[in-house]
Amino acid sequence: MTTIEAELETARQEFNQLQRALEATIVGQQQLIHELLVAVFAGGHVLLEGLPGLGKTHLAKALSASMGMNLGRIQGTPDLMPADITGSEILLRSGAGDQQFEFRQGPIFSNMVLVDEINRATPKTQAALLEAMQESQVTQAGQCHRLLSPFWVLATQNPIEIEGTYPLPEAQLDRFLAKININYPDADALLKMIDISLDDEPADHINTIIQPERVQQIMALIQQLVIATPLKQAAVDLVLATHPSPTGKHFRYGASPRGLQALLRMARVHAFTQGRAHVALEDIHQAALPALRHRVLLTIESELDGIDIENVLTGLLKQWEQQL
Amino acid sequence: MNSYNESDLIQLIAQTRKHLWMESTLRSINISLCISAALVITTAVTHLFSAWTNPYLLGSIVALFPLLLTTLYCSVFQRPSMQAASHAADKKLNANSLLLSAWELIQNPSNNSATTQLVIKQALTKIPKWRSQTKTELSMKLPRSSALAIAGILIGITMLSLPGGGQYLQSQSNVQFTSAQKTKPANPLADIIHSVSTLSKPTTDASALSNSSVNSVSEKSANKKVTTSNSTRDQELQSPLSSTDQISMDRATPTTSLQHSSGHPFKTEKEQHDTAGSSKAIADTKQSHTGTSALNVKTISIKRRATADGNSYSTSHQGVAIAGFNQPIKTDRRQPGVAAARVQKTQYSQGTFSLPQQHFIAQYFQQLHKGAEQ
Repeated sequence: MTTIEAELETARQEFNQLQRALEATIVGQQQLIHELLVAVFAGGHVLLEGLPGLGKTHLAKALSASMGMNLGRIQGTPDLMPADITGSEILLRSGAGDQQFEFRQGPIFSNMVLVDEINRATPKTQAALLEAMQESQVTQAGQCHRLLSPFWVLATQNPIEIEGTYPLPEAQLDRFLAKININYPDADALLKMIDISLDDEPADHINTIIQPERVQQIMALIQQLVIATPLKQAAVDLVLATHPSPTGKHFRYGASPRGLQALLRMARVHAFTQGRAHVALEDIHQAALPALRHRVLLTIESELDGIDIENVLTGLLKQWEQQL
Repeated sequence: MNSYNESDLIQLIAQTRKHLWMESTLRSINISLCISAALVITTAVTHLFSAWTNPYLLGSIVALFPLLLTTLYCSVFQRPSMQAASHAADKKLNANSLLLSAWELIQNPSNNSATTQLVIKQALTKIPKWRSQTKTELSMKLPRSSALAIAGILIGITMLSLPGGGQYLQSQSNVQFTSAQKTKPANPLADIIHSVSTLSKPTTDASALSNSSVNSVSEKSANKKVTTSNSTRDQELQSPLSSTDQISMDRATPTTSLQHSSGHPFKTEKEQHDTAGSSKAIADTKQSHTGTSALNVKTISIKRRATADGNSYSTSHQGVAIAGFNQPIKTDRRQPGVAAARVQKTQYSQGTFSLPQQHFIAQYFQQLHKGAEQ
């Protein structure tokens, strides 16, 4: 076994260990946990969408704890101001009577930031996250402040509450590497959840599985995985297929180039979790829905007809596979 | 360390490429076989209703043209690239794009990272497994529909071997005509046909007895006249055929019907055979006086007396000669003891009669000549 092969295998075992720890905390959400870890190790921000009470916040807390990272939390409310996220300058007076402004870092200065109910924040506040999410920095009073590395934003939103919410603009949505839908757990998972979390919060007791530095090493290792040119071409074809065309009549706007990057980055991590040193078509297929579902817009007619974006993308993936 | 190198991988992909190419060709050939079968059957069906000089040549061209076209198309356009072959092999061998990735890394050695080497190594490790899989997964078989198509082509070729065009129509009409005659026992023409068909049978006996017997041939010819249906002036020449027995003609030709002038040829007085007869053959013909198309029918009665063992017995032969319109039947006496009526074919083949009628007349003369020669 070569060095790189051994490294990949070790990293994969650590990844699986982390996944098992989270699965022990959040019961019955294996797919959700896998997709979340894939997105996190791909170095992207994640938008979690699900009904209240499904454990979104709990999952974010468990993830940060298992990775040994500090978690900053922002609760989205209509009166939330950008400075509440990025931080603000406060006037400090020294003992000698000198006064000076000092930048007080906001909760965004954490390795992992949980923005709970992000769609309740005003667009102005939401826009404050744009720079942070894309460039890992915030600018306050003309000064640029670098964020911690690694840096992830885990945002949650409730799909059923419309009143008093501000749906995220497309530019904001595009910053998220993946959008993961949280499904309702089945009966067995609910029963098991009662046993482990009826009177306690398992995420509070989770141990660190991987150190933040090790996470970065694994992320760097994953970036070395091989993506063959035909597979890159296949990913391009898939992204282009989401654009409006005679065949894609349901689409109003297609995925952006950032979506293509997200697709391949997630596919690469998925290949890593499968123990491969190269990306396969199956990996692109697995990464397609989380990477693309929030990047395409359906036409008004399709939305009025009640057509689901998941179904449209699933059909598109089938066509794409047949054409390969 | 495995003993395989990159050339083995390339060779495997090339082998897969060849398999895919052949597979694609076979698939196309299957389609072309189906097209050929359809074309050959269509050609054969058309051949049955129209006269072609060389149906086999046409059938061969029709059958081979799609095959040649397909082979040419496949050889030029359907050959997969190495990339496509490796991609297809990935699918068939469930290699999860490892073959494709390794092939591309080998082709572009600029990226010589550790993972690149690892991918190539993993691919080389799996070559034996892939080779064994290739033998089973990439087997070249013609689809089952090819067998059906080949059967269709054979059926078409068989149909091409059938008499085509007018011959087929004639034979069909003749069959209908004969069957119609069989269903009408009172029809004199059926008796005529019967008499012609029995003409040759006793000949064998007669020839066997020719050395020891004295042949006497008497011939009575009852001149049967066939006139147009509107000829009513001679009651004796009235046809015993009912109107339904009359053979209708093509409207392009004058409406003509065959009418027997004197009923059953073997029941008239003229046809009472002279058992002691050694009379010479008589070819008695009468010409129609109706001025319209008439067919002279001549009944020939041939009698032979044989005394091989001292006992005498007789055999009789009866036949009919049919002459053309207003043409007397010529008598041929070149063969002693045998009278045969010989009529030129041009006398009845000028389109005056319908095809079944012409065919019937032609058959009659053939049999008549055969009997006469014997």
